[in-house]
Amino acid sequence: MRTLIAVEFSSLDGVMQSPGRPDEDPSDEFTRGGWAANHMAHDPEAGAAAMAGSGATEGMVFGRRTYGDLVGHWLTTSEPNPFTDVLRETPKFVASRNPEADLPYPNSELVAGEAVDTIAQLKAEGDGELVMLGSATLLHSLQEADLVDGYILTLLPVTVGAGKRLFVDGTVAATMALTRSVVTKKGAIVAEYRRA
Amino acid sequence: MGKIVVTEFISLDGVVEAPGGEDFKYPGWSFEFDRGAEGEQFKVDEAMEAEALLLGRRTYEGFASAWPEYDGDLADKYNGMPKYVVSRTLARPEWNNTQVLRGDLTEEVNRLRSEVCGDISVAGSIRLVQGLLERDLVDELHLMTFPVLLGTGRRLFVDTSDRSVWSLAEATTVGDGVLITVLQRKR
Repeated sequence: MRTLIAVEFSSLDGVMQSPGRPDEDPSDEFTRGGWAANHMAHDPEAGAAAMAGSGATEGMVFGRRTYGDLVGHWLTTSEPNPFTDVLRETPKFVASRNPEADLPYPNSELVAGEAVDTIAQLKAEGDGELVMLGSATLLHSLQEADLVDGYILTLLPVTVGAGKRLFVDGTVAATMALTRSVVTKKGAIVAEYRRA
Repeated sequence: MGKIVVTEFISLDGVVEAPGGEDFKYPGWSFEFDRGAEGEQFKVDEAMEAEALLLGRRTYEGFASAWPEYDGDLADKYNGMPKYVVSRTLARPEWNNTQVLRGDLTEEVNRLRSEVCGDISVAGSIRLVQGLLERDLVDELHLMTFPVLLGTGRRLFVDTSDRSVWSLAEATTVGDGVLITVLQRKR
């Protein structure tokens, strides 16, 4: 059985929407995007801690929007960064209801259908670890179906005051274990939780 | 100059409802986790360092019915120090050394800040804290984050009309993966 780990940014008030750039995810009239950018630009320790262990990742899971935006951004940027190679090489599973969805980037596989069913099947098909990034809508449906096994959260000391939250009502209740925590000199916390 | 210090038990998914009991789907959920000697000490130090309590009406009533029954240093501290309750309906507060604040929240809190020298501790009091956060009246946040997802219940942080930047003054893990963070408002 594969485990599924959500690797996410969270503000102090639990917002996960559009951390990197204002135009990353402006859905639902969200205008406060890019709230993590300034902190992360000055806190390489946080980025490194969140990426630690990513060598063990067997695949990545995305919702359609995050796939297009995040993968698209890092695979087309010319600035040097630690993400481009990982995002190109790692197999990417993209959940979509549209069986015709176009996946323009290498090593991408469409899992078409209801995510709750397709991701459950994807988890059952093998071993190792799947990682998901961003993908709020997909994450919420997987949390409600109890398909998320752990979290690597980069917690930043800001409140955003609006936007999609990391956790919403309907998440299956669960006791977790704090398996790793790193406090950076710049004041971020990278905390890893697994199902207890 | 007084400092508004909000202190909360919070679940990983941001719920602050009934961590120590009351009527809720998972009453007393925070008690399922050991917070270790260090976690206990943090709560004792925090209480002993407070100069006054600022509370919402429901939390006040809970405290007022419990603390007078106890003895010891901590109980003496709670029973003795000044209490300020934000309420439009509370008429005759019975707990020793209590004042009811009925005016505009911003004015009342700013007056307290100028009159009290030291920490003004706000515990529980979800609606009051949401009002303080919206008005940017919180100077320090003490969060004890328990490693549990509840999936239901009232959250501490709701939408606000502005953003805010804080600095992480302290972060410690105690007991069963309980995370203690102290955040100071950067103004």
